[in-house]
Amino acid sequence: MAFPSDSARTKDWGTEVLTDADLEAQLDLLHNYFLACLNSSTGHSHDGTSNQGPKINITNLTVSSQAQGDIIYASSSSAWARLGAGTSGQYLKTQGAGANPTWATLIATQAEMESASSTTVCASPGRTQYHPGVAKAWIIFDGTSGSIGTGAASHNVSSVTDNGTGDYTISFTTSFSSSNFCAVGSAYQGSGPVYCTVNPKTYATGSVRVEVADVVSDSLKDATNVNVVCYGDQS
Amino acid sequence: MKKIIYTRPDGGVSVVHPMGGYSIEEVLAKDVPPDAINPQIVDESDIPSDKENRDCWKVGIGNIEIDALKLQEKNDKKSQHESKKSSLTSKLKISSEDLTILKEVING
Repeated sequence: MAFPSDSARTKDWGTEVLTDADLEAQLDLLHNYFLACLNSSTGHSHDGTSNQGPKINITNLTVSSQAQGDIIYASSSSAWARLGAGTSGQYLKTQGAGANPTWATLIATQAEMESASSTTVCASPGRTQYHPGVAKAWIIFDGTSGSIGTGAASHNVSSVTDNGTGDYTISFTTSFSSSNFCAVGSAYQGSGPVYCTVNPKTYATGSVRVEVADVVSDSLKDATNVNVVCYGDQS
Repeated sequence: MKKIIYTRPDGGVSVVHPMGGYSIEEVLAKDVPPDAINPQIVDESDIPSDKENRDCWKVGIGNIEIDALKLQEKNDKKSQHESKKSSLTSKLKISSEDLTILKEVING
């Protein structure tokens, strides 16, 4: 809302003596301006039930040393303060009434996932695999004939090598940090049926070689459903 | 579908099956051990679908073949085994007759 402009003046105040009429004209201009300010839709509004307060259009508010990404917060009941922009990915964290908010990292790091002890950070899909209780690799495949194919389903497995009857090497996309990891499995030969055991034979950081054996004859056997799951620490 | 075949230092033949999402070249570089002998990329159709004589496989030129010598040795062993089995079964049958007589003697 514009203040009465110079063009609305009725006299040049610098060179002439103002009469009562001149002053009244100026006062009328100011009066109309204040009425406009109090207009219910464009300015300060009062009615019988509420006071909406002044409508302030802030265009040039400057907080000391402000920068893009900063936020302001009440640092007391009578003062405001600036919280500088955190780092990308951080979230605003309240510390409760009577304390200032802060930026916090919500997503667990790889180290936090591996230590599996924090109760204040969250696991993200891309780091879940670092938790020691999560399977790092698994697969189910058909070991009979040449039909291993691409496996029925798998995770973190890049290939299965058929080394002979009941003898397979499972290679990982992301290796383990050492050869000290756990591999467990089960197997079943549909025709028969024949129940089998899966026995990890050779552990390497990037693979595990397993043997599948018929539980009755104790001889190596190609099974239709070979399941292998691996747990451990990844590099 | 492409596969990788190679001969192991122990003379056995390995067949590598890449999982979905991995190219045959990636798997060849990553999952084939450095001591693999003559690794080759072949079509699945070049690998026998019947694993009956899996232990007689050998890597050929762009395919897997049955090693005739190994197969002959395997069949010879199998024949010898069957012969011994037949002989043993025959002996057990004689023993079974003797056992029947023995039972008659025991039972009076």
